[in-house]
Amino acid sequence: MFKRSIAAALVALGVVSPVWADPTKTARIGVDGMVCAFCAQGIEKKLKARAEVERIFVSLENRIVAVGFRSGRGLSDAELGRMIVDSGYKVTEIARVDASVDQIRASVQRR
Amino acid sequence: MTLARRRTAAIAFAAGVAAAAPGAHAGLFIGKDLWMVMAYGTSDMRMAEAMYGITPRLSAGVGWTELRGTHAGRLGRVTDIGYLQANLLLHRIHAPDSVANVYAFGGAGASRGNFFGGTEATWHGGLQADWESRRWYVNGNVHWWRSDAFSYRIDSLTLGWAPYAADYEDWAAWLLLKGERRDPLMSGTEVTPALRLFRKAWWFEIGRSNRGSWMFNVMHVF
Repeated sequence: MFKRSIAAALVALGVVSPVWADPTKTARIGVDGMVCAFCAQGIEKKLKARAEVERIFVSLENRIVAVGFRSGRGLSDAELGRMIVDSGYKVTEIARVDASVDQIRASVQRR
Repeated sequence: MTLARRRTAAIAFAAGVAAAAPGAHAGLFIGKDLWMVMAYGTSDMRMAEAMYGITPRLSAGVGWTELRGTHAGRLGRVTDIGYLQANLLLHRIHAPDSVANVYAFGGAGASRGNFFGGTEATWHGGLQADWESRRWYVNGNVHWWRSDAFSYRIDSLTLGWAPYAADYEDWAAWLLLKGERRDPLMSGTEVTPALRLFRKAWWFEIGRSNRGSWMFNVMHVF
């Protein structure tokens, strides 16, 4: 019940995509307050603990966490948002993109 | 300095370290379901703590501190304190490029020492406020320790500056300047310049105070 309430609140606030967002597509998550790599370890640890997650990229400079999934698997925006919040951070947006995690990494490092 | 003053100063110093070392930065910033372990040492003490993130706002764990000093001409243990501690995030402000936190922490434990007999019940508690960006850091901490054998208040203020803004996979380097007062056991302020390095889940600090004491600190999250 509590988890559903969090998910509903995140959708209502426009922080996460609505339920029709494809959960298997790469997630590009905007995160506020992520200024220290040591403190942000919780994000990576939580995501890596999920069997659905294949690749992760964290950028403090761009304030994003990119999450790629194993073929045919994925996580909902609500689950991703909850993991970021549990790690102590604020989610500003979750976008589903066609780019892979490696492509996102390359694009932000070219800037 | 008399032996009694050495002992009380050593206890106060340990209390100050307990307040500042694990709590000064990441020690209280523990995500849910994560462990943080740390070891801290100076010429006067050894310390170890393990904390676990129970919720995004609450962490708890155990700590142990051994104070060392010169007794009868030999360097050795003066006292040690074992304790349980809980850390509560009272408020956090997320900005795009910075974060600010206010914490309350406290707990209870037992002390053994050379200047009192048996075991003393001991409690401690305090408040911490910090703010940091990728280049600047400030932390204020006040910590009280109480038992029938001793009663201390330790105030600390730490300023930090990073010469470059490290990203997630980089080694981060910080220069720190920490001031600490230990009422009523130490006159004046101890000032410790230190170097902080961290990458991913590992954190290291080394410094030397204006009183000649070397400091090291190692933390790991998993």
